Amino acid sequence: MNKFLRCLVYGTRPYIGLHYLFPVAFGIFLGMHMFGRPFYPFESILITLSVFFSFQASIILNDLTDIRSDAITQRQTPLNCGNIPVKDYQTLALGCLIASLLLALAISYRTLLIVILGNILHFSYSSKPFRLKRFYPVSLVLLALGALLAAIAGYSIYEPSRPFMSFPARASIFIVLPLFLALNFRDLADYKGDRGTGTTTLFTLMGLSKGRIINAILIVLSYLSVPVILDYPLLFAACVPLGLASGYVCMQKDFREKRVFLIYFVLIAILAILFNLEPSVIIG
Amino acid sequence: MNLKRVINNIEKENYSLLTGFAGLLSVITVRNIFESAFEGSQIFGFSPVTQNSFYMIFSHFPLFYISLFLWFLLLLTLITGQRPNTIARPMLIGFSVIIIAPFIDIIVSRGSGYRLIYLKGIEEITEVYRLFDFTRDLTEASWGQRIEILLVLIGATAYVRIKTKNALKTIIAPVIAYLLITLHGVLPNTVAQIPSYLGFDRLDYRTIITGGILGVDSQNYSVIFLVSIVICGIFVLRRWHRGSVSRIFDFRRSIAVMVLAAVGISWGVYLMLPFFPRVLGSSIHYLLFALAIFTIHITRITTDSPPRSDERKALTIFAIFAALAIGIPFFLVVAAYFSLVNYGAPALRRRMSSRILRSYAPAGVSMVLAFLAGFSVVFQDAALSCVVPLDRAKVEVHARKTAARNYYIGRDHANALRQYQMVFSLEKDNDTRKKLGQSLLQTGNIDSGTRILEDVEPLDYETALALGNAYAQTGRDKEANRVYAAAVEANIEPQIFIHFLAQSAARRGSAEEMDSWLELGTRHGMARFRYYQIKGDYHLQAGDYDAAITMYDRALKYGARATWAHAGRGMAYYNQGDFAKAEQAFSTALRFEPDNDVLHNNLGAIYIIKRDFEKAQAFFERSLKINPVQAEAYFNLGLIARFLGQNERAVMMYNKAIEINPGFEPARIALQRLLGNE
Repeated sequence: MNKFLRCLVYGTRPYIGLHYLFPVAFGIFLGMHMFGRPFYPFESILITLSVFFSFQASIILNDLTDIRSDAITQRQTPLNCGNIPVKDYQTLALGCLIASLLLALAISYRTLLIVILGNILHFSYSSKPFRLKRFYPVSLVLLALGALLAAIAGYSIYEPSRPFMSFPARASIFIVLPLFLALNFRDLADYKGDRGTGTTTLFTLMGLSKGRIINAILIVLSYLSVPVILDYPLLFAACVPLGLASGYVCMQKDFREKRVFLIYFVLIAILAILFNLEPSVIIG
Repeated sequence: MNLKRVINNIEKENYSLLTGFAGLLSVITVRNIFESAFEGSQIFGFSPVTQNSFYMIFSHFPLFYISLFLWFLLLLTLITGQRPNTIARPMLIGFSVIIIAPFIDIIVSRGSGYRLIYLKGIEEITEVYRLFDFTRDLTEASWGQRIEILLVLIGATAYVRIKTKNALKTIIAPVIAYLLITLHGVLPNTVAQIPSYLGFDRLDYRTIITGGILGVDSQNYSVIFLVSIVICGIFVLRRWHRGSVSRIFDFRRSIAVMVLAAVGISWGVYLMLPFFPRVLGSSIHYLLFALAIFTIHITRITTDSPPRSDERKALTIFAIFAALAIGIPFFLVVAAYFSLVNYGAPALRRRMSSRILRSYAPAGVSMVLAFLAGFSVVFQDAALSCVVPLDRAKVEVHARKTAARNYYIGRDHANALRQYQMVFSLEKDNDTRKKLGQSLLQTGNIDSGTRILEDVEPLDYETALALGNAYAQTGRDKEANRVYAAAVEANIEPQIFIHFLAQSAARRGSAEEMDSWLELGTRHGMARFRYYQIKGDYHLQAGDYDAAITMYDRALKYGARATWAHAGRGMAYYNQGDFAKAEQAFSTALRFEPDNDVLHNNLGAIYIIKRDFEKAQAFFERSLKINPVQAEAYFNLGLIARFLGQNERAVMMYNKAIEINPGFEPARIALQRLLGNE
């Protein structure tokens, strides 16, 4: 039971789940400050939960489609722990998807459309007939766009009419570019499984050792891109050490994703304080 | 990259019908959401009217693309000789190019988006070669559309070439594919014109397509595409699962429920006929009735297919889409019927001790549901309350609402008003209040119309638009701005109402207020061309016509089809005395918005200057047909009457203009002069 519970908890991918909730919060923040409206707690909770359930549905779908790959990598998921039948896991995915859609609809119809787009993106990423995660760097683009959609979903509470066209371009680049550069590290743990199933990643293309180096460089660049995009040189004081720390962690033989996420959360905290003190940094 | 190997690998991919269909639906949904989110006027899927958006995104466009997909599948099956399930896999990947069109359009249009519409009818099919004429910017097509069509044709050609290596087939495939695409484009409006081919009065195509029993125009289009899917589906199935075709068209086991559905429809038609005779005069309705009965049959036979088989899944998917297209009430009843036949009946039988009940209860419930389903096709969300017409008023309300909607869409506002007044006397709900108010406005009863609309609570998009524009057109700018500002405050389509507020400020010459609204509008995603249009309006009212033209030209750089930028240029040239350029500008604007009353009025004004009073009169009358409260058109008709020495008529026209807009000084001055002379 302990093993099953551990599988279930880690199966929800808590770190990367948080990573998806940050863009939602960012979108809400942006909407509040751009249009001078108060915080809407009810809608904010609903959209956060909606994105959360959407993400959970995508994890389950990913586990279901990656059974072979996870078996090779020996990744522990609720499926290959053996305690949850496939049919029940599928039902859970459906339940999460329906919850996600209903929560979005409770806000507004157009928020529902945005959340549907997010679910379609997850579907195209993990599942056939497209299973775009097989193709590098399309997989990274999709993950970055997923975060952008999460932000737009939060933003749409305040601008439901033209959320895509009015979402600031700088904010879009701020979300997409650093993530695109940084997210290679997620494929490091799945190297064996990806190689066995023909999925192209930085590591299967470049080899493990060269891939690690390139990954480390890219992750440093992703941190350095943040002050450039925001045009706020003071941020280098935080981004340089954090970027180097992330790069160092990625180079370790005993690589742990958790450490990269913890460093990333430190940056998020710094940015949260900065944006609250000086909203003009992101809004302009 | 070896294309042949890639195609072979894709053909060998193993996934279920449901997964493949989910993939197809995903591609279609992404295309539709982005097309409508980017599209210039937002009348499609991202519409502020939720009902319209829902049917566009979940019914109309999916069925359009599914129909196209199936016809392409059939074409490639016939040409290459491959089985449909083999071809469907690479076709699905190739079909994904439809996603790129909205992104190309938003880039090419510099953020304005394009408004896409269907071809007007079969007579336009000879014009479709122009889609490839890249020197033209077609009114109804976009660059994104052209590129996606080109890619699809290239894909079809490449596939046929690889599979057949036959030059003739390689040439035929894209030609037929292109014809299929254009036939889908002309299909809806062609079907709508069928009554005229059979000798009935040619009805406004809008009334046929957008009116009728169904409340939303997309549903009518969906019905047409569903029929297309059925026709094509038969041929595809014959090549895929021959046995399925005979099973699908074996009506013996469903005859009872089909007859009951038909009886339900007939009962609905009978109740509606006294109030809405057109229920029997629309070709779409006959397709709709046939489709509804067929859907009931399909739902019935899902139990006959092996459980978890592709056939059962395909039938269920068809039933879902067909029921949804016909309407939510029909969908719910069919869903109940589906649950009963697949799951409920066996459970019911197990629970019943009486042999008679076990034998007849499930069948009895099925019959009732089938009858109700048929009835709900005609009476939609009023089905439950009207099926047993104990309250005749409810039947009359729904039937008259349907009739009124048809009159309104067909621009027969007098009859629409009459119907809505009768409905309002029976039922004072918000929706009727709104429609009554709009009808009053359309028939020139501005005071009554605005009074009724002011009582609509809460404020919504349609009410704010109608009310604000009514005030604006009659010179009551303060009230108009109050309504627009309330809409912005309530976060109702802020970029639209901010645009009106900025425009009002610009036309009043209030630069600071205009800039403030423009800044807010930009934050809300106001298209760039609107920004420069408003700047142009400001310079126009200030008399700085060169600056106005510069601004309008800038607007056109961002939106080549920006009607008001063209019209604004026309006004600037008109005021500069360059009537030839003014006429050209107004005519260009009219190409993009042929039902714009102001443009008709402006063109008419030019023909007055040219002393071509006959043409001028035609334009003003057209303007008034579109908008009966176009005060300037009445004024201009008065001018013509004055020129022709018809003083009595001139006085009548001037009075009409003043009645609509009491602050309309030119009409007041002209009337005083005329009466003074007399």
